[in-house]
Amino acid sequence: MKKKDICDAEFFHYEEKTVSFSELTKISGLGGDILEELIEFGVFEPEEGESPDSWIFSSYTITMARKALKLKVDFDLLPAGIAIALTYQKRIRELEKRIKELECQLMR
Amino acid sequence: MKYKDYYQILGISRNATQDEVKKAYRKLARQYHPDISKESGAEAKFKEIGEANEVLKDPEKRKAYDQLGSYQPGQEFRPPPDWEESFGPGTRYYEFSGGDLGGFSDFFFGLFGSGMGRQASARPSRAHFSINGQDFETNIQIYLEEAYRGTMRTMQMEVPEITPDGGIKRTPKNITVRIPKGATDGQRLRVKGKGGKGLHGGHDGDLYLNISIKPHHTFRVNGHDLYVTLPVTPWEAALGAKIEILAVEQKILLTIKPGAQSGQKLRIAGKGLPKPKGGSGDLYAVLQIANPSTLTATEKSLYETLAKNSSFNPRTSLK
Repeated sequence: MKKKDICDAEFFHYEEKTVSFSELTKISGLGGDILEELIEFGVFEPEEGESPDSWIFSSYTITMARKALKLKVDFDLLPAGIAIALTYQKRIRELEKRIKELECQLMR
Repeated sequence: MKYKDYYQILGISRNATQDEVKKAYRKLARQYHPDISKESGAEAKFKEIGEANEVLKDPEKRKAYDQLGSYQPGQEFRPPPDWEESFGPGTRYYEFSGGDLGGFSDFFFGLFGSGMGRQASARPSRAHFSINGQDFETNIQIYLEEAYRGTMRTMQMEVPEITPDGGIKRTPKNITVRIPKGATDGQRLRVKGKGGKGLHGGHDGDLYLNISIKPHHTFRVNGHDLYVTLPVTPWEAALGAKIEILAVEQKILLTIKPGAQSGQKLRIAGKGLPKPKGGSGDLYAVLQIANPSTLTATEKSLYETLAKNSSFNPRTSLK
């Protein structure tokens, strides 16, 4: 196989890039008003800034905002419902991680 | 393209009310949503449900779909010319709910277009926007040994491309990716620019690989740390021992200190999986004291001597 036909999969860190509030709105497809509500619920936290004009988010927020859009469209959820669903998802991920850690320590 | 029976997918009759469509969708969406269900095939099923709902919830699309008549699901199908003239995507603009259309079938796009292309040029306000390509993601399982060395995988992707007339064409493409060493269970890797094509100057999307490691008969993986159960004899645990094990690709000499306990963890720093930025995780050996299931006469006699002479009582807390 020719070398150019092979693509490199790379490691990346969500934190390597940041986005502004308006970029986040555009990239995620979520409306600015819904994003503001989700920020009020504490689902997303700006890394910096006091108001929408100066807010800066880690690019991981894009992934979360896209998940939020999917929940909104797929289930007709309102911001409060999206906030709860995302919070539970985060909690489940943490618990799954913990289960995995403990399972590894079990003797087989 | 192949005909899809949207009513059958949602489990409703062709004369179902809009309310029944909504209820059927909600029930199935909750059951198969990829963020909720861990069932295999849930994601594909959910896409199918989403597509059926996208058509049947919108009276205009539903009417157009109903006009086609009924066919067997999976039957090879072309919309009749008179349908194209009255309902085809070239004749009218269908509204899309703005979700993820990437997983919809050729049948759907054949009937309703993609909301872009020809219709977009008829709506100049839309055509000026650059649209970034969709990100794709796929799951890849690798062997533990491959995580040590890095590996390659060739996969077939169906990349949807928007044709000039606003339809969608899917071309199967083989993509070979190099997975670097250091990738581990639960890791997400990115292949830049291998997602959907951007439009009007938008960026191409990326392809994300969700890596998982196939269960290994000896080692358990947690991040870059490895766990192994190390069976030891009662006398090795009591007296201490040096034990050599093969940890994937390297021999490691473990020192068991006298008085070792069952369940005790020995940490061997830097002998786990390699990390992306250099260094390695740790290896943990979890001690398991194993007794012989049958004893020889000599072993039995030695144990009896030990029992007579030992004052050790592990159950003082239970008295």
